[in-house]
Amino acid sequence: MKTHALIVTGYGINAQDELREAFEIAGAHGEIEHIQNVIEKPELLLKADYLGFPGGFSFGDHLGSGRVLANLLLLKLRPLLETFIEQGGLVIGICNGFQTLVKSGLLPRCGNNLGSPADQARNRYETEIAMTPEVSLIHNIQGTFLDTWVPVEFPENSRCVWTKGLAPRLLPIRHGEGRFVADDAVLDALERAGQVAVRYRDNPNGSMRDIAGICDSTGRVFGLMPHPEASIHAEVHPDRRRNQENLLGIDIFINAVAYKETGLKSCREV
Amino acid sequence: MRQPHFFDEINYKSMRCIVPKAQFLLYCRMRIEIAYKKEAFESTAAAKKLEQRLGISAHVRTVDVIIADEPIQAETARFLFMDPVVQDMYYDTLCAGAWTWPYPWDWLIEIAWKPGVTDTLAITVQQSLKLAGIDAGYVSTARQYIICGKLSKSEAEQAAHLFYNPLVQTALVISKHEWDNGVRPPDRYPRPAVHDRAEPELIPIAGMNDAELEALSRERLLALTLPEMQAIRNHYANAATIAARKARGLPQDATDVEIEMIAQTWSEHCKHKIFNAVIHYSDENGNKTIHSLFKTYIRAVTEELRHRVSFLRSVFTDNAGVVQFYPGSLVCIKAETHNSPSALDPYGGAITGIVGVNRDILGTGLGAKPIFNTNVLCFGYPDTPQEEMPDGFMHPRDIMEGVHKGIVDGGNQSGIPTVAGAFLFDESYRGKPLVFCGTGGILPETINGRPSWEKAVQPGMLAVMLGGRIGKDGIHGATFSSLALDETSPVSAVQIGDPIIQKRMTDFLLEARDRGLYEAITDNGAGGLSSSLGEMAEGSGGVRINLSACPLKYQGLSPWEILVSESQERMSLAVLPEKIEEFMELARRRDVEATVVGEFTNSGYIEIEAHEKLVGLLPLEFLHRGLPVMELPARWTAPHRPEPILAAVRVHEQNRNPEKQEKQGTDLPSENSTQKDSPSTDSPVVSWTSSDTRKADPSLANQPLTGVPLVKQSLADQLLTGVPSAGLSTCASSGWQVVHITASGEKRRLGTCEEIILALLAEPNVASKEPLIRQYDHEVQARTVEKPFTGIERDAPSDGGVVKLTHRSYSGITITHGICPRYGDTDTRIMARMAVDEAYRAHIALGGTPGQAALLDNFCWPDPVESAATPDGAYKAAQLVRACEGLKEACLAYGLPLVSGKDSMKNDARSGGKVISVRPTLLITLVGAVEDVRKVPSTDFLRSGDYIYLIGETNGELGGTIFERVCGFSCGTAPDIDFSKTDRLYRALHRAIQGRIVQSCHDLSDGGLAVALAESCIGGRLGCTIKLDALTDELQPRFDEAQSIVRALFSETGGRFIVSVRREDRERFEQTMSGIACYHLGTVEQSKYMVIKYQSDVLAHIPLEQLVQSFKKTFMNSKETQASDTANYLIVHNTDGKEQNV
Repeated sequence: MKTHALIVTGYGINAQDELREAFEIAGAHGEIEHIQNVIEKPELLLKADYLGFPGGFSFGDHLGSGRVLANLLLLKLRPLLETFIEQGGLVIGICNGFQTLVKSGLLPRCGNNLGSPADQARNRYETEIAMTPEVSLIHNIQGTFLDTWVPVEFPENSRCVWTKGLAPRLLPIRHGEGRFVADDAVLDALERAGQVAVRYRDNPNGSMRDIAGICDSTGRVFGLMPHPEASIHAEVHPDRRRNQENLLGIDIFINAVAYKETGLKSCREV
Repeated sequence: MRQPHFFDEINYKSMRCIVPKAQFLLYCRMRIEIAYKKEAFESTAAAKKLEQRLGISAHVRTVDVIIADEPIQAETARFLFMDPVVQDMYYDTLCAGAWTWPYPWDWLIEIAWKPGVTDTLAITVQQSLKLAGIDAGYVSTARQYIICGKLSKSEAEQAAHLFYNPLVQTALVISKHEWDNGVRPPDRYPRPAVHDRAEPELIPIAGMNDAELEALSRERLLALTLPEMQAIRNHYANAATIAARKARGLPQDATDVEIEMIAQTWSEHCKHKIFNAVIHYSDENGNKTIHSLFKTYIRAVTEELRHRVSFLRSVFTDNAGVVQFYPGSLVCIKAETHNSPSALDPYGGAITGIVGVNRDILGTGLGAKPIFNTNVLCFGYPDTPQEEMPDGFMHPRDIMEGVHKGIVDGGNQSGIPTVAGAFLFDESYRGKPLVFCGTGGILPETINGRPSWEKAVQPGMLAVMLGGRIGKDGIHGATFSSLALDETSPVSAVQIGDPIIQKRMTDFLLEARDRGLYEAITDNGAGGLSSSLGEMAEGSGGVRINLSACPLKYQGLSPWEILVSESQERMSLAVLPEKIEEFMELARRRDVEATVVGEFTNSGYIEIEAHEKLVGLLPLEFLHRGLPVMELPARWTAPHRPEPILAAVRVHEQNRNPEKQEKQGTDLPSENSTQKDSPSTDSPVVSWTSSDTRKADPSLANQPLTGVPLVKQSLADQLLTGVPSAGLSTCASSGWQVVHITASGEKRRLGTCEEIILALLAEPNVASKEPLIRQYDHEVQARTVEKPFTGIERDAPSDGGVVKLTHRSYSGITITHGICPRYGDTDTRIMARMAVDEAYRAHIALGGTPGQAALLDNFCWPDPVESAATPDGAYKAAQLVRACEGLKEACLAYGLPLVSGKDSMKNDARSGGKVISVRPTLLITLVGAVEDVRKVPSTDFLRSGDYIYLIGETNGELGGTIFERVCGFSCGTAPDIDFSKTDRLYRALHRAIQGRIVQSCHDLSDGGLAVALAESCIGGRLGCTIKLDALTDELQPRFDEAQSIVRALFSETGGRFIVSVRREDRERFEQTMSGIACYHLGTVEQSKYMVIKYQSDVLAHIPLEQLVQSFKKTFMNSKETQASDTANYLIVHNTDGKEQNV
């Protein structure tokens, strides 16, 4: 039986098709649904194994990238998302999807371990009613959008189930607001806890500590600025003529599907 | 207002936590400011701009300002609008008043939108509030730039001008001193005035004399000629018209609604009057009369090719051309221009251009999905001195910046990859820029069992308007684009598109299409509802439009304004009455506004109602076929362009080592020959005796360089920093000089071959535009195979774009362009032939299948109608005729049908008695088939040792080339092409590519052989050694030896390619190319030098890094180059390649 990926779309999200394609190539069944449909029919999410937030320009990135979509998640889907994650669901947010996860506080969720009184005070209101944003993604340091392929690596100590054991490779980036920022305390905590999942080798946007992607403390919720879903076929790789075998972004999805399928198998065995 | 519909019961509970009712009314304020906490989080773009443009070093804090009518509770605002990690919100106070940055501020600039201009941030704020169930009434936004730096008042005002366009925005400049004295930004900004219900005006046109008719056209901005106005008068004076109107209770007088609708429908923009005119043409061969250029040249091509190609589906009738290269899916393609709006509001004009042409695709057939964008942007040189700019017109640098940003936002936010395009610079685009925006789409072959490319509008179907509301934006856009631009051009002609609203509409439409909820669709572009419903009415035979049903942005629009407004993000559809409920329900759930605004009929009339009264009655027949045909004179006289004498000569230099002369004469091609041939030590002194031009001339050695702006100041430096560049660093000179011998016999040294090659690479038309192009998302949808840049460091230019049609197949399409306006100085017929060839040879270079390609033609002409204002109109009309002839010749020669096109005929800018007219410009956009995208070669050399071939014959023309631009004087006739040879050549080359023999393939265009070779070297970061002898032999019957060298290097003759082939494939390649002009020039080298030889001598010997530097410096921000050390560089460096082979 194939595992099942739910990919949301709507409001300016635009990279849903390739994200579904990535899940399908990796061996899962992929389905695209308008967020409005998920709000109306929570079972769409509850029956899924993976939830994908694709790239795009949700709400035009006005008020900050991912900001308004994050509001929508918090207002309409928060309990559902929490249930999904608690029950072992895998979440990936790519580019605008990553921005959305970060702005909604779904990533990195290391807050309770931080303990800094200043942070506590700052987020007093949000901790009460919403997840707490701890990090942010802001305008690239050069101030402009950038489309290129960059070398990235996957820290070995990361607890991220999506990136486990992957070798460094080129991945495409396409963003104007990808500069990862946080307080030093948060950055330290992320590194300590193995929540840094992807790093740039040649920092293209001014991200602190070269961070390109992070996961939550479960390792199952993962967000990154590069687009692994745009590197699933060898013929779109920029080095297609130079190397016979280029490493592709598809491996991230293969990892996730393997993780889920192994989990399912063990469940069934039990 | 429609009710928010997001809440189910569970979620409503969580809502209550956020907005406790008791607090809701306690904290309220209309002005909210949001700013980044510290300067480290700030985007430095604004400060950079200040420094680059005004030389002012300052810190700039940008603040987003939200102004709402109704209270928003503070905590709610914080939750909805603010990012707590990096931002602060100022609610009870203003950011400038509660200043937190470490340095004090000196100036505050606040930019707000003028009333009625689309404010996309406000739209999102409204959205966000709506999600939380809050109605805050009218919302507007502003942006503050708070400057920490000692600026004078005039500097602060100049700074404000960097950040706003007075046409659509207002700016407020407040000094700290004024602030301390209590000056504050306003609590609210003016909004569109709400007028009383406006009644239609009556116009007694039937009784008007000619002078009155002309005055009416002028005063109402109808842009109609006297014969056209007379045709309208005759219609209203006609007894049958009077009777029909009387029967419906209308007076004989025309209503303004009717007059405006006729003017829109009859505009040059919509009816292409010049392309349909009767033209009386004369040239050296005599006279002829052409009945419609469109029918004679454009449609004729496609009609003639219809039996030769099998892929045509819908041509010239729909919003876009529709072709089918592969079973199951159709490709639609369309390109438009948005020149006049972009001249006034570059950002708004360009973004509207992009989203507008996207809608064309969306409105093609039953609605296609956009899969790629293209853009070709033509500007004046960005370094044009300010004093050369006519008053009242924006500087090309500012236009370019705005247009570029519009293209970036429009394409990126729509989620459509920008896969191909170009920047062109020419002084003739200083008055009006040309902004070509193209889009391609994909349609399934059938939708719900129906052919997807056919529309069916039947009587009884409902006319539905979908998308944004109607305001005064873009009123008179269609007629305005049919007028020359001057200082009094109307402000209301500018509209700003919102790609996100359109994206939502696109998603909804594709869903509705697949559910079969509508029967026909078209976009609302120029002319708004008047144009879209007017066209659809032709399908059913009539339409009844109820203007009072149309949703408005604000009250007080006259009925005619509602009808012709070009408010963006709107489509018109025909929906069956039995499906309307389901359609409206889906629209509601997808948050897209849909309104029934009328009904299609078969009455033969367009009936327009407002407030339950008939306000317009126009027979379809008169509206669509009542337009009188224009007659135009066209007189051609060939311009006199003598061939200049340009010779490459060897100049004596004292420090040569004569002992090493014997070492010359190494057979070429040879490996690793570059080092020992290093010209600074080894090259011999050559003395020629046969003719003047070939004699080594010591007197030239110390002559100053004249006539050649070789060390053109880096544009980027001027543009962005104001600091002069270091200029061209000297490379080891081979001592070969290019000399111009003028008509009077004067010898002028133009520079060494090396210097000229480097100057060509730095010329803005050739130079790398990578920092600009990488701001376009060219890979969303993840099917882009050939990207704008290629090579080991991904910084060499590609010949065009290749995208896969679907994720799971290897079949793809090429997207390429041809545009060469300067060849038109010789003859626009040649220009058109070369434009087609340029697009087609790029298609071939990308592995495209010969004969499997379709073309779009976009003509942008100066006014070709002879008049007092345009005394040379007949020549420009003749240029148009000749361009059409050339286009037809090329299309028939290659078997390429034209499937869609557009023309823009009044590209003249007038100011203070000065006219700047664009060079006649023809853009060819090609979409073609690539059977297997894995075989697509790129332009970069792959490995050392590969053999380099030049394919195609070189004729040596230099007129209109990049070489001519760099020289600054006329270089004779323009390059042309012999189609009888190239068609065979292209097929042979295609076989070689399909057989995977070709390692790299680059077409020769701007800058000729020298530039193409340099680009292939840059891409591979490899050197090369080539020998020109085969080319100079080819040229020698017409030019002597010394002239042949120059022409071999820099001519832009069409139909040529640089190809590299593995050594072991040499025989197979030469066999494949047998009978084709194909010259083995040399070898790709591991050494990092581009070496060009002639006989035994080195003509040019240029280090690779110097090629790279010249190619990149023009548009590269020098600051960013420095920043590469700190890893903040735009371009990713992988100098040794190790990071790539991970």
